[in-house]
Amino acid sequence: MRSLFFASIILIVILGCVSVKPKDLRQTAESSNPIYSFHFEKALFRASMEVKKNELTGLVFIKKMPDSTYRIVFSNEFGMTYFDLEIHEDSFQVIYCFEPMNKKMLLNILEIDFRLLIGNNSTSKGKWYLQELTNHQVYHVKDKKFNTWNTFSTNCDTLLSQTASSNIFNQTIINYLAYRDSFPSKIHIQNPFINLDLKLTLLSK
Amino acid sequence: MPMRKIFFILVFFTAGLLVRAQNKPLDAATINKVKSGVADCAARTITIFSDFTQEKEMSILNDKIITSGKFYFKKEKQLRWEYIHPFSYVITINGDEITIRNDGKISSFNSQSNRIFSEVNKIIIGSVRGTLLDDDTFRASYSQSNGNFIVKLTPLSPRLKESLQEIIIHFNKKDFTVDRLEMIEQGGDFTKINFTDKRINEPISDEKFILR
Repeated sequence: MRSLFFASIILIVILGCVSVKPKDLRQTAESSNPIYSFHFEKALFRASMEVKKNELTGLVFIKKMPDSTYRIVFSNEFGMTYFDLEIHEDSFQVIYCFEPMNKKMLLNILEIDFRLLIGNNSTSKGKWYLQELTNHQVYHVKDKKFNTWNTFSTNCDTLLSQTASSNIFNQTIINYLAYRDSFPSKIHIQNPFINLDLKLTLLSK
Repeated sequence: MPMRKIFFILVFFTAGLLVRAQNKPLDAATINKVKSGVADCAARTITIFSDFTQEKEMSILNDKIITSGKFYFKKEKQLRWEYIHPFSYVITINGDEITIRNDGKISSFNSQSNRIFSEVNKIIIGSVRGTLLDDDTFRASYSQSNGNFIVKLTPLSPRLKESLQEIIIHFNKKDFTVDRLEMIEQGGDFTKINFTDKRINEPISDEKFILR
């Protein structure tokens, strides 16, 4: 009984610490689907990825293919590929992954991260909220797999962040920063439970 | 003979000639000449300073990522890669010690602890010093183009085979320095590094290989 009590306390603390839901939300009457504020056919980023205290740096290239799938290639400065992923609307393919990174859990998380980033997430109908402290508009959408919170600027023309979770061990936080010509020049992706931290700086698109 | 047939015969004939012109296999005597030329060049080379342009070609994506910068080498095992465009990044290799300056942040580690760097380090130092040609972890095949002797190295070790299909080194026919290094990955993507404006044996301070 006592161990159950402690387990519950620990679970409550963990859930409290890592909740991806933005704070101070009030539901609004807005009913339209959000228009994501940036789109791209291809983009090249300088990348720095930390996974469990290992740091990898290099370039991330993202390209939309003619069949609307996305290819994401991360290579080091010398051109050697760490991973090459393909995201379809309803499937995911690992074209290549450098052996030490070829772990199912990591690849699942990368799929979620990049799916959010390319805007290929849920098409389910969501609800709008106003974040009272900041006046940001927040769009929450929940489908079979994920709970996703998309935070937009006050006038709803700029996507500021996305947080998504499927369970407490699978959570993603993406911040879109330093917009230039309607495109974020810095993108910061975090997955707290595996200590994954990916920073992207736009080089060209 | 129909025009279309003539056209295809011409195309295949021309393509055949081009392939031959690009890639003539070498006989045993010329292979020995290449080996001794590379060894002599390595023996008399104390320093190298050159510009480089690196192209990563992604076979399926039909796109190239092009980066460029400055390359420094000093005997025995000191390297400095300075990427200037489109981002600033410096990596120095001093024996097994690797130091990186990225976004103003400096970090050091031992090359043995990072497999990719360890392999890239071995390939580049081995190419410059000529030791890669006698490395028994590769199978070498030799050919030539107009201006270069071309050595194709196929990794034999299972670990290296996981990521690299082939390494191709283009040695300049006149001075046996490396004009181009190509790394072909298992997925078919490849990276070409072209060395230009090479300056051999000009003084380079040891400070150049230390990042602070």
